[in-house]
Amino acid sequence: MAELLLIEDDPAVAESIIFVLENNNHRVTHAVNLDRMRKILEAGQKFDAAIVDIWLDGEDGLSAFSKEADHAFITHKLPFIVISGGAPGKTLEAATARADAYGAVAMLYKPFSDEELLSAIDKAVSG
Amino acid sequence: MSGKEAGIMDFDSSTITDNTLTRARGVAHMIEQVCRFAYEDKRPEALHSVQWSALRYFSRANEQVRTVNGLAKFLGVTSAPASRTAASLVKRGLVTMRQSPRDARSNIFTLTEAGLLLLPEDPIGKVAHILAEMNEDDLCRLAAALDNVHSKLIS
Repeated sequence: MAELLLIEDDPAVAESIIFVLENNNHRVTHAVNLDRMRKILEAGQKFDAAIVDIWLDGEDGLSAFSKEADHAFITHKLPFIVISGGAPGKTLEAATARADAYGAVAMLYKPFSDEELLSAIDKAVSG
Repeated sequence: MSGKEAGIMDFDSSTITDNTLTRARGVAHMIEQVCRFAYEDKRPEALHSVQWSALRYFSRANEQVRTVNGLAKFLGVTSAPASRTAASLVKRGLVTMRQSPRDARSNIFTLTEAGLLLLPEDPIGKVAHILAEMNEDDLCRLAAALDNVHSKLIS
């Protein structure tokens, strides 16, 4: 079982991800935005990995995981998986390059299969 | 030097000196030359950069999104040019196309053995191997600086 942090602003997507992960014996804490994510991390909760939507509502989800981020001291060592379905004016190719460059364990394009998600979690948790 | 200091576009333009602008122009030319050299193979059978992008996408995307629409989202283009790019890879025998079991109007693209064999020759791989020789902090700073330039160019 892994303790997972999900940062996803779309409630339907979050619900389906949580359903899959909890049915596979993982525990998931959900943050709808980066502010909520920071509060959770600052409260001292520990995680094995994070799943982050790259384009949150008006926010760059990946920015929290860059070394230059203001909370890098919290998130830098946390393995993370990036998920994205694209956004107006942004290409998935650019998102993929950023995810790779910032050290994501995996980049999943929505919609992704349960198996793909679980495989990425295994990879993130096993280091 | 911090990541912020490395990002030359963080400076207020009113404070940019001629020397700084000349230096920045040199760096911009270096970026252009790296990209140009990466795709220096001009043989008729060589893939264009967008075809390489499509091949990379089909190699790492899950089956549900290995479609023309998925490729269009990846490249940031409409479905017509994405369809032409996918078709060009099919014609070269690098990917196969089959009807989606979920949507009869959609085709799924999958790399052939020839496509898989070609992947290690990805021109970006050469650049990646050179960059991998940098220490991790420098690589992170370079990533942050290029990310900054890219985000300002597209905004």
